[in-house]
Amino acid sequence: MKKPDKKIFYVLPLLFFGILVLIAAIDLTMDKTPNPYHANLIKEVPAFDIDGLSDADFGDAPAVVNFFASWCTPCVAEHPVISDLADEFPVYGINFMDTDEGRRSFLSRLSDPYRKIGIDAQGIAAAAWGISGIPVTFIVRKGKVLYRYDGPVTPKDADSILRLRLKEAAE
Amino acid sequence: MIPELGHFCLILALLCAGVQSFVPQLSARAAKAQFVFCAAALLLLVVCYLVSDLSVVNVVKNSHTLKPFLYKISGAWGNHEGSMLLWVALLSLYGFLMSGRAPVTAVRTQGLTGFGFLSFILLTSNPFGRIHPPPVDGNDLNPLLQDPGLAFHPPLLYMGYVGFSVAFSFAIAALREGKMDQAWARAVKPWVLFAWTALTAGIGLGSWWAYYELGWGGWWFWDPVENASLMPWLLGTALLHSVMVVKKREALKRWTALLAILTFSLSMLGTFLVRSGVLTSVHAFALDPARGIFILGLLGFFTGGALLLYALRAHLLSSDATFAPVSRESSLILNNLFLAVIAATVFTGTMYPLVLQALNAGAISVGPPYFHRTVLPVAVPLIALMAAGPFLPWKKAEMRGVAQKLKLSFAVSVCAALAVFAAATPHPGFSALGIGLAVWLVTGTLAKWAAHAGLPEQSLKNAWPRIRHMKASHWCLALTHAGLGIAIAGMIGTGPWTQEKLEVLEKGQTMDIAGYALTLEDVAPAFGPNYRALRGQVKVTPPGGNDFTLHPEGRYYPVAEKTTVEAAIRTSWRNDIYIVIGEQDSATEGFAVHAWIHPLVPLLWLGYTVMVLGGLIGLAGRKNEKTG
Amino acid sequence: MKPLLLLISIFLLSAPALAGVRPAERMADPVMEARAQALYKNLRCVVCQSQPIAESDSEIAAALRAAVRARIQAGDGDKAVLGYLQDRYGDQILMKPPVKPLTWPLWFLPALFLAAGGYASWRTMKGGGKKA
Repeated sequence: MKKPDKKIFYVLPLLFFGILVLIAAIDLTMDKTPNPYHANLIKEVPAFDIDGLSDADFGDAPAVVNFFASWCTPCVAEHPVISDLADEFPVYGINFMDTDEGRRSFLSRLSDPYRKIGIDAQGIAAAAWGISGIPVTFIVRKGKVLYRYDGPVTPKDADSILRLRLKEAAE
Repeated sequence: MIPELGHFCLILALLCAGVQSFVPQLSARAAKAQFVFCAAALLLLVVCYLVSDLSVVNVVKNSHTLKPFLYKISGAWGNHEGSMLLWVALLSLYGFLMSGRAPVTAVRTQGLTGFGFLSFILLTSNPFGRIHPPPVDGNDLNPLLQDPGLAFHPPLLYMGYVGFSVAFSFAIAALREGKMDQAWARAVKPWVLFAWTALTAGIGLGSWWAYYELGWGGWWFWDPVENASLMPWLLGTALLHSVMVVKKREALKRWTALLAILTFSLSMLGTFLVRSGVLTSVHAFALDPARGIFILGLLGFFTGGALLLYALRAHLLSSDATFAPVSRESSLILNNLFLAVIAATVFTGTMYPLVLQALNAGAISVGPPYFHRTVLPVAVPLIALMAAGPFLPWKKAEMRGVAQKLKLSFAVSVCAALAVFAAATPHPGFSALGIGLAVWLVTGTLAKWAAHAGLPEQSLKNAWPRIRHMKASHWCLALTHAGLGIAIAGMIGTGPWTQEKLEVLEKGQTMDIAGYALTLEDVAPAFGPNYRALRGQVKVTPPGGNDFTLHPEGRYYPVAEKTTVEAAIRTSWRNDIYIVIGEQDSATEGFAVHAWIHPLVPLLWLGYTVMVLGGLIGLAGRKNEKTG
Repeated sequence: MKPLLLLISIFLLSAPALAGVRPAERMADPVMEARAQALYKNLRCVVCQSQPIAESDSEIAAALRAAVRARIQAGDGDKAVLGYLQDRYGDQILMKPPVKPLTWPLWFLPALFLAAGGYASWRTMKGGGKKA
C-alpha cells in the first residue's frame, strides 16, 4: 500500500519562485535614483593632507568642498554655479587626478573660485572622502560633513539645497 | 527590402509558433515552418551585416564597413536583438528536430516557448528596424568581441541553453500525462547530452577567450554573467545523471521532472540577467526596462506555469523501484545532491546582492572569495564520488569489492598529493588536495575504463577487440569524467601556483619571473584593418632553454574609441608564459610589462576538450547503436 | 627616428590607459607591494561591474589603489586597510561580504541547502527509492 503523498512539498518550488519573481519585479520597476552608491557614509571631515590643503584648513564657518578636474566635462558645466557660491561662502577645491598644466588652463580659462586648492594627484584624498566619481560637492562645518551632492550642481539645486543648507549651518 | 523581408519572416514564424502550440494536428508541420522562417530571418540579418546595410539601426550600432568578414557575420549576434534572434532560431531548430519523435504535448510546449520569445523580439527588440537617413558608417563592434573565440561562443552557449528546452518540453508532457517511463528517458537523454556538450564547449570557449583576451591572466571571475551560464551547466549535469536513473530503474522521476524544469528556467534566467539590465542597473548604461519586464513576464509564465503543473501533478509520477543504500542509484542521488547544492549556492551568491538592492536593504558585493569558500567544500566530495560511483552496480553494491578495484588509484593519488605537499608549492594543503583529487578522478576513471576492456586480467592483445567495440556510453563516461580531472589539475596550476610580476622596463632592460628572463627589446607601432597598435618585442630566456620572442600588443580601435590589450602567450606542456604590455611610464619612458607564469594551464583547455569529445562520442554512438 | 617617436606619442595620447595597475604605482618595498597587490584583488571598483580595483582602468580604481598604498605606508595592517575603505564606501567595496545579520542568509543558506538536501537524499536512499 502506498502512503498518502505529502502534496505540500510539490508546491514549495512554485512558492520560492513566486517570491523571486516578486522581488525581481520590484527591482525592475523601482526608481533607481538616488543611487545607493552615493550614500554618504562619512559624518566627520576625514583626515587628509595633500599638497595645498588639509583637513585643518577648513575654519569654523560653514564651507564648501568641491572635487574637480580639467578632464571632467560636467565639472566645466557646474563651474559658474560653484563660482557664484564662492561669492557668498568659502569654497575649497580638490583637484582630482589632474596634471599641473590641465589645472592651470582650466582655472585661467574659466576663473578660480577656490579659497584654497588641494592637489590630489593620486586620488588619496578622494578615497578618504569616499567619493566614487566627480564632480562631487560637500558642505562641512566644524569638522562635520553636513551634506554631499553628487554630480554637477545645477543652478536650481544650488539655491534650493546648497545655499539653504549653508545658511542653516551658519545660524 | 531585405530588412522588411526579415521582419516579415519573423511575423510568419510567430504565426507558425501559434499554430504549433494551439493546433495539435498541425503542430509537427508548423514546427518545421517555424524553423524555416526563423532561420530565414537570421540569415537575412547576417546578409544585412555582410553588405553593411547602414539603413538598419542594428547594423549601424554594431558594425562598420571596414570590419573583418568573420566579425561581420558574428556581429549579427554580438548584440541584444541579434542574439535573441539566434536564441529563437535555435529554439525552433530543436522544435523542428524533435517534432517527429516527441509527444505532441512536448512539441506544443516548444511552440509556445517560441511564441513567447518571438513576440518578445517583435514587440521590444526588432533587429530589422530602419534608420533614416542612413549614417555614413557604423559604430563598429566592441573590439573585445572581435575575436574568433568569441565569434563562436554565443552560438555554442545558446545551443546549450536552448537545448535544455527539449527536456523542459518533455517534462511538461510527462507531468500532463502523469507518466514518465524508460521510453521517456531514452527519448530525452540524447537531447540533454547534446545540450550539455554544447554548453560545456560554449563555457570552455568563453573562459579561454577571457583568459587570452582580457589580459588579466585569469579564466574565471565568478562574474554574474559567467555564473548565469554555470548554473544551467550544473543543473544540466545533474539532469543528465538523473535521466540515467529513470532510464535504468524508473526511479527519481519527480526529481528529474523538477530538474528539467529548473535547468531550462535557469537558462532563461541567464538570458534575463544578461539581457534585461538588472545586472548593469548600478551602472550608467542600463538597458530598456520594458525588455526586462517582458523577459520577466516570460520567465514567470513558463517557469511559473511549469511549477504550477508540477505542484498539481508531480504526485502521479511515483516509482516502485527499490535499491540499497549503497548502490549506483544512491551514488547518483548524491551526485545530484552535490550538484544541486552548488547550483543553489551560485544562485544565492549571484542573486543575493540584487535582492538586497531591490529591497533597498543595502549594497554588498559577492566576489570570488565567497564562491571559493562555499562551492569548493561541496565540490570536493562530489569529485571524490565521481571516481567511485561508476564502479557501483545498480540496485545493490558491495563496498569491499569497489574498494578493492580502486585501491591502486587511491594509493597513486595519495602519493601525488603528498609529493605536491612535500614540494612546498604555494598553498600546499589546498594544492595537495586539488592535485590528489585530479589524479584520483583520472586514475579511477581509467580503472573503470580498463575494467570495461577486461584489463588488467586479460592481456592487452585479448582486450583490444573489447576496446575497439566498447560501447559509446563507456567511452563517454571515461572521457567526460577524466576530462574534468585533467581540467582540475589545470585549475590548480592557474590558481594557487600562478606567478605574476609587473615591472616597468625601458628598452633593453630585463626582468625575472620564476627563472625566466624577459627582455623588452623594442616597442614599435603596428597597424591592423580597423585598429592601430603598439607592439612590444619581448625576448624570453627560459631556465636552461632556447630564447624565443613574444609580441604583446596594445590596440586602439578609433571607431569604437576603445583600447584592448592582446596578451602574448607561449604555451608548452608545462606552463604558459603570458605577457601583457601596458602604459608608458611618463617618468622613465619605460613600459609596464605584466607577466604571468601559469603552470599546467594547457591541461585546463585539454580537459574541456576531452569532456566535449566524450559528449560527442556519446552522441555519435547512440546513433550507431540505434541503427546497428 | 623622429617621426616614429611622434607616431608613438600620438598613439599614447589617444590610447591612455591599459588594463589595471599603472607603472607609476609600484611600491619600493617588495613586501608592501605584495600586500598591496593582494588587497587590490579583494576590493571592488565601485563604479565597475564586479571588477576588483586590481583590474580596472578607471580613475577611481587608481585612487583606491593609491589609498591602499598610503594606508600600508602609514603602517596599517591588512584588516585596517580594508576597514578604512569599508568605513567610506560601505560593505560593497569588499569582494568578500562581511558576516553580519544582513548577510546571514547569504553565508548560511548553502549549509542549509546541503542539510535539507542531504536529509531528503538520505530518506530516499533509505527508503529504497520509494519517495522519489
